[in-house]
Amino acid sequence: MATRDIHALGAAVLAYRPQRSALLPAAGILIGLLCAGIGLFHRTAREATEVPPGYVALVNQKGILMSDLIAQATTRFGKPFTEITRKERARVLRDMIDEELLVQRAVVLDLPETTTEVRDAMTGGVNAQVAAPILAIEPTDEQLRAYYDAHRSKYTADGSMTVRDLVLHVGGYENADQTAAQARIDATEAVYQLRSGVSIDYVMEHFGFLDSGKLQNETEPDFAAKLHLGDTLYAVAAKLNEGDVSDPVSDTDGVHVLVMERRRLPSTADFTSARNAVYADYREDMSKAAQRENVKILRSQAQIILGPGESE
Amino acid sequence: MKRALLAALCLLASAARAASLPPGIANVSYSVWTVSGPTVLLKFMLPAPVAESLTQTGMPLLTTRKLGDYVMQHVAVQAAGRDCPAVDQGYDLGKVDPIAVGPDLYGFEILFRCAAPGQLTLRDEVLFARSPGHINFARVDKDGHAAAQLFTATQRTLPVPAGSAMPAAGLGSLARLGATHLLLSLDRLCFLVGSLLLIRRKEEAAYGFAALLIGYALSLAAAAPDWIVPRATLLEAFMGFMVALLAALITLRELRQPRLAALGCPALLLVLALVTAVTHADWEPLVLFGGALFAAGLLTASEWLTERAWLLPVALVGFLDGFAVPSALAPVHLLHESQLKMTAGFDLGSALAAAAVMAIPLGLFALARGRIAAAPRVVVNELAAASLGGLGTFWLLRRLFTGL
Repeated sequence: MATRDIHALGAAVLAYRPQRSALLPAAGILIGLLCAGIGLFHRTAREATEVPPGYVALVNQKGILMSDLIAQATTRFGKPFTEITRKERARVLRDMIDEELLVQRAVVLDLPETTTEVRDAMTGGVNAQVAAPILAIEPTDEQLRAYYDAHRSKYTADGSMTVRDLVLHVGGYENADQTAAQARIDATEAVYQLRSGVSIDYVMEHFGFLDSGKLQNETEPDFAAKLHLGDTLYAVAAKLNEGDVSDPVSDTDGVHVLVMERRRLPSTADFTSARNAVYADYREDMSKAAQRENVKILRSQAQIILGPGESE
Repeated sequence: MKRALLAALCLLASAARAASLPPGIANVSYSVWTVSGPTVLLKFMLPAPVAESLTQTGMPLLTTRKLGDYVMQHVAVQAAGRDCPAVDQGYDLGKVDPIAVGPDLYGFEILFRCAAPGQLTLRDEVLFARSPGHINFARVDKDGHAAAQLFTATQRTLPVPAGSAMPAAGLGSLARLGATHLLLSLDRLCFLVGSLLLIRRKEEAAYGFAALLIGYALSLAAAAPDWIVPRATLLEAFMGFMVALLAALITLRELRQPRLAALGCPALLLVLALVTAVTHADWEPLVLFGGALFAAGLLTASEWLTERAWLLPVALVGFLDGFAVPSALAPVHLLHESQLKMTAGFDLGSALAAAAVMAIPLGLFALARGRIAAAPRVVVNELAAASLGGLGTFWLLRRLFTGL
């Protein structure tokens, strides 16, 4: 088609005037105003003037549930709700309204941001809320037994011992004549004599043993004995029964001989006697696991930006 | 055409300067003064865009604390001519307590305790030095009675009567406020002055005034039952669109091919509506689509209803401007009756100022006609249409996408 023809066609289209009708422009105006009006305006928020069903009061448009009133009233007066008088009920409701006002005031004051006691209470509340579904499930005996078996050390009472720690020092200017080999030979002989019934005092005097001073020569719990003796000597003492004498043990300060005078072995409570403690520990561990999982989820959904040089 | 394009470009460039404060009635703050004997509890609220305008006055980093200190320095309660001290509210709160009052609002509480009883005077100087058009909507609660009041640049103090109830703001001050609002709103002024170019005869001027007043009256009637409130940012953007639409109406009379203007303006709006729809805006696409339909219908109708079609946009601008106060008053929680009185007084002032803005140039033109050589009508219309089109488009886009 020639360019002139195209121009002529365009001009004809633009100049075309259909029969004039006001309907279409009027419809466009009305529909346009309606659409624009819907976008430009919105309904004002209606405040409730009546208490909705299930609620007992509205405080600044926030409802107080009837179930909460019932729970609080029965807890306070210790009797069924049906036996609570109108005056008592009104008193509880008044207190609940006061509490709601204070909570709303705390939100306005942004106390969770500024007050540690509020933050602690809120953290505890969230942790309790997360643990509640876990705690609602009663553990079975099998679960408790499995927990008990995995955590026996928690239910093991510590043993105790009364042990003499005799040492034959080696080295230093006081023991210049004593070599390690000689000390070992003397110690072996001393052990033989002690096991034969010779008294400790005689052996100490005859061979030159001294009390190491690490122990108080009285009954000590195992953990205290371990602390005082050290790992090397405690490992030997732990294997001794009452009346036993250990083989010579070389340590940094000389050759030691341990004499177990009195020994009470550690005892693990059986499952039946420890069941209450196992139950409490099990539920505590389950709660903590749920709380840890909750924090993990919150972290995965949060945007956490650390300042320069900070780490966690 | 070249002159028109050049004028549009110049105006766009000049109008592209960053706005320092939000348009229209969005340059407001709110205060609730609860008077209880010698103590006055002030709750002061500042919209975030208004607070952020303070960054241009030497507050380089706006923090809540700095803003609270600024408010503290600019409000006071006086008794017997002396300032009453603000009370430290303890518990690390200090004298200015930041409070949570909703999204996009900063809130502060200050408790004043006056030693001397007697008549109290409330003073508010926040932002007036920087922005004379700033308005503080106040509610004074005393003895269980709440009164709606105003703080403006010309009225920065309010006396609280000792024995009687606090009076509400008078009709005069509200009307003055409405008039000031209109006279400081460049978009409204541009529209009203620009609409004068569409007047050919004296009776059309009367129709124009009537349309304007009908618009304000309808607005008051719509606001009375408190069913609807406007989305303030979108309303201001729509005002920008109305200015651009006026430019299209003026252009339509001068163009040889009016169909271009009749279809071009709505087509551009439809494109804008699509863009906002793609960017997942909330209500913007619907407003723009409605604006496109409205513009298409109006511009098509104005091809043969040349003398009457422009009255509808004038009435619409009056209607929309009448909603300036209801959208601004929400944070103060006034009683419906008080809110209605404020709206009526404000709208009365705006309507009178609008009528004056239209009447004065008409009167001057009537006096000067024949005495001085008039500029060719086509040139004037071209320049005016270019200016209005540029400005209107700028306001529409800016307010749509930035809210400023």
